[in-house]
Amino acid sequence: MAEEKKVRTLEQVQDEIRSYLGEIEYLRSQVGAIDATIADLRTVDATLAYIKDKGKGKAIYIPLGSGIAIKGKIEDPNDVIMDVGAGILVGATVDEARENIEKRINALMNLRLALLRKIEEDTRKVNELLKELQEMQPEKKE
Amino acid sequence: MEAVKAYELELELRQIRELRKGIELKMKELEYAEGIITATKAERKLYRAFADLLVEITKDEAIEHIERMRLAYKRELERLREKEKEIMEKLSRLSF
Repeated sequence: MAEEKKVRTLEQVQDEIRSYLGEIEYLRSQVGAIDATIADLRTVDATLAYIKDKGKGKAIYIPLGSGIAIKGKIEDPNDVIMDVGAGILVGATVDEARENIEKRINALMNLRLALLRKIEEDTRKVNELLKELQEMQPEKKE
Repeated sequence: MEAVKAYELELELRQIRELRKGIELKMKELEYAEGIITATKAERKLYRAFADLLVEITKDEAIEHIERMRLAYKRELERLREKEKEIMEKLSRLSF
């Protein structure tokens, strides 16, 4: 019975390769999304650093949506709010917000690493299956 | 005809599973938010987003809001699980 399981048809191996390739493509798109989020977080971090340092009293334009913004002034550069999810926002200082951003970047970097490892593993499996496929083809001709 | 029915059911099953995953993710988000809110000091200000409008709320209100959302998600998860079971049964009947 165990040996029976090991014997796979050409189509089954091809299906498996296709499935791994699909997964690799999906994982790559996820890595891309993570990279975009990290880039976004770094921009926010740089903005916070600038505002804390030079923001007090500065005139700014606050976006209202659809490309429209209204003029405002930074009263307290150390008073920001952080979205913690579930529709709740918490008041924080710039340092706390930056700390939170750093934590999120670290978590995303770890996730990114895990995804890259999975891509590597899947690529190795695809290569093994391709080798298996190549070995199977001459057998079929005989 | 049975193949078409099976395809439709599988499609429905996939949609339900995706919805369930989305809600499970939202439940995790609630846990994370609750963790932060309960750990915050009393003097810290909390706001609730009503669309784009932010309204200041108390810590108790925030926890109550999370609890209400958790109950709603749980109910929805239960409903989706029932639906999933129903479709699985229909699918198994089709394959025999």
